[in-house]
Amino acid sequence: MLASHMLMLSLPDLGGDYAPWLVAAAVIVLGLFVYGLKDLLRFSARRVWAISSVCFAEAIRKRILWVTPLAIIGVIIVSQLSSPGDPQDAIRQATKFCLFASGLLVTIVAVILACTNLPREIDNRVIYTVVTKPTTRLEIVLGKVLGFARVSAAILIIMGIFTYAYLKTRTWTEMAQVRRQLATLPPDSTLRPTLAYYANSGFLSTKSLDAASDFQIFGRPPQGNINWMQGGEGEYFIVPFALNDEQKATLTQVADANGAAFVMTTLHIEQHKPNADEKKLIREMGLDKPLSEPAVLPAAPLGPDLPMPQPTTAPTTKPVDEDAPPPVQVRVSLLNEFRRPLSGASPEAEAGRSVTLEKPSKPEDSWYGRMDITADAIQSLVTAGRFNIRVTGHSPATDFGAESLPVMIYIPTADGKGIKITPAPDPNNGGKPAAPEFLSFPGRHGMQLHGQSDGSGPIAVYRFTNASVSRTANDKAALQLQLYVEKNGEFQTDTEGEAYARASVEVINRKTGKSSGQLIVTPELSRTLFVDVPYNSVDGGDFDVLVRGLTKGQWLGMRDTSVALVTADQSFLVNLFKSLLLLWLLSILVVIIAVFCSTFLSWPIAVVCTLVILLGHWGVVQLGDALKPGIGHSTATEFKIYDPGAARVWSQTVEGLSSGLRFVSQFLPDVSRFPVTEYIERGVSVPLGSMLGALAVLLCYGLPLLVISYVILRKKEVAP
Amino acid sequence: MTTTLETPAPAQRPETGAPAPRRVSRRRLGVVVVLIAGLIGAGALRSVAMDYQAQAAGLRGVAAPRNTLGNMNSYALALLLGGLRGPLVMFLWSTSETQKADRDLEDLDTKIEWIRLLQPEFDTVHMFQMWNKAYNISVMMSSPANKYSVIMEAIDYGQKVDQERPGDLNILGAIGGIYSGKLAAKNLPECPYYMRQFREESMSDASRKQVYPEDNRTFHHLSDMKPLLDDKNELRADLITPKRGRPTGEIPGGEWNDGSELQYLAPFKKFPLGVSPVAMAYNYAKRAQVAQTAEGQKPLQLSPMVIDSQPALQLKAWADDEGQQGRAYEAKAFGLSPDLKSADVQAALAALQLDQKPADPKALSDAIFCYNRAISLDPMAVHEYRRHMSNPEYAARINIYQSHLADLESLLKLSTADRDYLQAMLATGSERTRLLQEALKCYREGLANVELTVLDYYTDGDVFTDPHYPKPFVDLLRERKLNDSEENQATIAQAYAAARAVGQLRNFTQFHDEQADYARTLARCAARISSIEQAMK
Repeated sequence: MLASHMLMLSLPDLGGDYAPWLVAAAVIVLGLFVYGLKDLLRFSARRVWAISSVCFAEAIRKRILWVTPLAIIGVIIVSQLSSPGDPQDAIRQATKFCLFASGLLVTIVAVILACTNLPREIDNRVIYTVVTKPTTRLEIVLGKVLGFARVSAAILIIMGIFTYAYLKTRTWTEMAQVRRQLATLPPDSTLRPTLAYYANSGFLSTKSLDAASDFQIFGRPPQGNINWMQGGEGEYFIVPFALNDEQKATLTQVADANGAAFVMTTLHIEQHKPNADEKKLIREMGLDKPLSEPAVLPAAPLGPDLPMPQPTTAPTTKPVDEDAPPPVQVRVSLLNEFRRPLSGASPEAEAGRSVTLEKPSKPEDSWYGRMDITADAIQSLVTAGRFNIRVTGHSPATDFGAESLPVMIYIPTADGKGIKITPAPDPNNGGKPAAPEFLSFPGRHGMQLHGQSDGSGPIAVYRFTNASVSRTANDKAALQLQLYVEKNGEFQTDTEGEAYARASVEVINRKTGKSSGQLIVTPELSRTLFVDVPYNSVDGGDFDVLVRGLTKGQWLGMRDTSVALVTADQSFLVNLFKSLLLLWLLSILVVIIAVFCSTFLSWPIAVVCTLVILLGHWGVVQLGDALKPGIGHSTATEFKIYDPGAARVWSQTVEGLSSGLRFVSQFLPDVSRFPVTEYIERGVSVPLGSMLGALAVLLCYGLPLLVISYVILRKKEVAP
Repeated sequence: MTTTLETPAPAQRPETGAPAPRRVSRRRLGVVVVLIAGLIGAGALRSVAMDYQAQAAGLRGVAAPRNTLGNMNSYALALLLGGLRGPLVMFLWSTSETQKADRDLEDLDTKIEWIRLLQPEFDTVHMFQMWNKAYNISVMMSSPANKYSVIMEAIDYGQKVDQERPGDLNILGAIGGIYSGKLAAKNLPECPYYMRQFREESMSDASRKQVYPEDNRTFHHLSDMKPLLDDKNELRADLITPKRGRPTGEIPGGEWNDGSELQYLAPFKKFPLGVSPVAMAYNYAKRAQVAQTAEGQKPLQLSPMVIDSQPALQLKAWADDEGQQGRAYEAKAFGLSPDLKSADVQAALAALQLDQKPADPKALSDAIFCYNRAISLDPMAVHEYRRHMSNPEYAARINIYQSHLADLESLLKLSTADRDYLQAMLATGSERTRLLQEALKCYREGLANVELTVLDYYTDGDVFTDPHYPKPFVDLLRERKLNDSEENQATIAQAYAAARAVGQLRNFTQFHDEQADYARTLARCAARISSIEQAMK
């Protein structure tokens, strides 16, 4: 089931999910079962093997394997000239060089051998000796492909053995360096956890990673039934709504009658004395001045359970106390189901409208506020059916706590009871209204997590459920952290301040309540960190990982994959084998394309054609934006073609060429589906999906090309 | 079936009867021999050409032996790459720049290193990559420690190039520029961290543990730099051993680079507190300037005037830094809070009493060392300024450098006064009295000097045209009749006080920061003078 699913995911996109498979199947059926049925019936695996053995032996006689020492020397030289950031990086780079060299070697050899073999055999009439035997053209094509695939396999075996031996050697030297570093580092150094992880797990380990099932950003650690967000426009929560027909009809009536509907927000509020940064923000937001405009009175009574809001703040002439917390405000926005501004809603509602919350009569009660929904916005909500309401914590120095139902739509009625529209039911929670999802605004690399030196900033919470935890020998489990530093922090280095940016990681077992305590790590650009945590904090697989930024002014970019659990350490050798297998699949594709080209082209042209087919799709992807619509106009401008006629011709020509390239590239194989180095260089197990993806490309492009090659060769006069 | 494959086609079969493979292999052998001979010949010719070039450069040195793979020259690399060096370099440049724009630093160092190896002859490439690392990439790092590491990598890059092409003005200038523009740049918040880390890394482990015991728990090396000092805190012999003698004939400027790495730090010999990055900046700036003056090398990106002025500027910065360092040790000696910012140290020191006992006597002697170092640097800096301005092409810049010279004069006086004051604290009897008298004299002169400096260079011109400002002072200043001699000191103080008062009255803010800085120095001097006067009553 999983395999078939992964297979579908990895299909090349040719305008429809099944289109390439259908085309491939059609070619195979027509070529093999209709046109070549006779040859298919005479098919002999022994003859194919014999032909492949000839190809293999010929390649060996040509001393093809002698090029492997050259590649090995190249790898050693290039590795010596590399400038790695740390020992792990050295091994990563060496792995990359080894596999790159193997890939380059095997591809070049495959292209040259496969492209030259058939044309030369036809030229020097060696082919006579084969075709005059009772072999079919199908067997010849298959035999040659198999033969060159065997050559590739031989090269990969040699390079694989070298890669493993070389990496082992490098690992010894690099590990010695890590041990030296660990010996000199102070016990509480923030660099220690990652180095200790390397020392325990080694550099050639292969990890499997388990991602969190949920990721949210809170203002405080999750506890009880209230979740908190911090003010200052950094964080928000979002609640999904799905209108049923009855609710749509009601809202339509309200809009038609120009009646009132509100977004009601009910939150717990806690405020503190603003610090210097918050005071500055309060001034910038204009919240240091008394609010002069009273709230607009509602068009109809709100009912007994939702009392009439009072004017937000009475006009006052009293000076504002800088140390006093600001008025409590949130910003409410209406978003579509994809969390983009709802089209048709008022511009204010799209951008979000500030809503001042009213203080409850009893301190333990919730604060509440409302935002009018205009008739246009109501109509948009009805049209959309599914939408989201986002509530952003606006006021600085304020924490906003939300229970399970912090937002709803309220329609006042004449009887005073009103109609309430609650959030969409959550099927994973017994059909109860969906709980709010807490997030922060995105930066370039994920949700922003602002650091505070005392740890009072927001907290990224990664929830792991039923994770398969592997226990290490020292009763620990490992976490992988990829904390992207979006903005550097402020350091007080004038005195004896911090030398490293810091973040803390805490793991709390939801079942047992055991905590790992706050483990300090030092995030850095382009650096993956590993932390060993006590096994009892993750035992059972249900636990939360809390990440805080501890450097003031720093923003960390947090994604759902930023924290992962290392679930198993596997053999590097197996992973290397998987990578080499991917490489071998790629080499078979190369051989098939090369044989295909060589059936109707002379060998130099076949080489070029093979490379174009092989790299065409990749090349177009690399060109990226340069081939997007509009390139014609922009190049005409760049080349200063001012004459309208000439500019139009130029523009249309360039557009035509670029769209032609884009179109053709869709029919070319995507070699990026062979992620040979992508996983292994990061020490992550090559997933089955990637292997199947590569296999899918091979089957989808390779098999039809093989059949077409056979058809061409069968029609070709190669012997009198 | 396999045997037929070897059989040539009948049409191609040779008719002579001679064994074809043998002839072919002979021909091939000839081609291979010619190729190898050609390669060796080209390599030898290139080597001869490079030797000739080095010889023609005269004073410039001999390249480091290329006995490691990392030092392999571009010729060998080009051969290895089969002539694909150009495309590879283009690929490396574009991908490294794209990676930098995307803030993706994975493999970036390796790519830069390959660019260095593939384009060793291009100074502009090296200067760009050094700048790239020190300025563009270092600021991307999130921690001061990692920023420091990247800056040191930029310096290491420069030093590798310098090893391959020793004495190149542009590389030396770029190395000096990184020391002064990054590690010793006072405007950077990380500067104090860089300065201290570099000083500690310049020492041997044993010395560092003794000199900076408070850092023993947290310190670790962040760069690959070998300590510059030995266990006696003297510069390593290999760094100051001349690699060539004085060139024959007349040398323009009279100075020549002897090929040693730290030639211009050799006279200072001992660095008991580690080597300051400003000292390193001076060393490389001086080497670059001498390369320009004596060897006639031309800078590619900076003007000759900039290269020529750098030694003076760096020496002044070094002297300033030593003075500041001295005050920091003084504060430490008397147990003042280590959290004090450098701007607040002066105020804290002003409150110290003469009879106060130092809590940390070693720190006091370190402070005295720093003041002595500042005193020794001061005349050298003045000499460098004079040398620079003696060139008729740069003489017009005297207006800019007059304030620098005035500062140096004040620094000399104040450093001498500070040193004598601290020594007096440790001395007794007549020696103490003598030292106090010396200190008092220097403080008074220094104070007057600072006041004059502020009046001359850091006072808004409108002050002197203001009706509230006494005209006699304007005349005295204009005619430059005031100096720091004893009879003028009172007048200068009055002129200074009047200028400050008018400035405050009119709310002139042009030189606010500089005036505040000088005011702190003046307050400390005044406090010290008062303290000495009281003690001598």
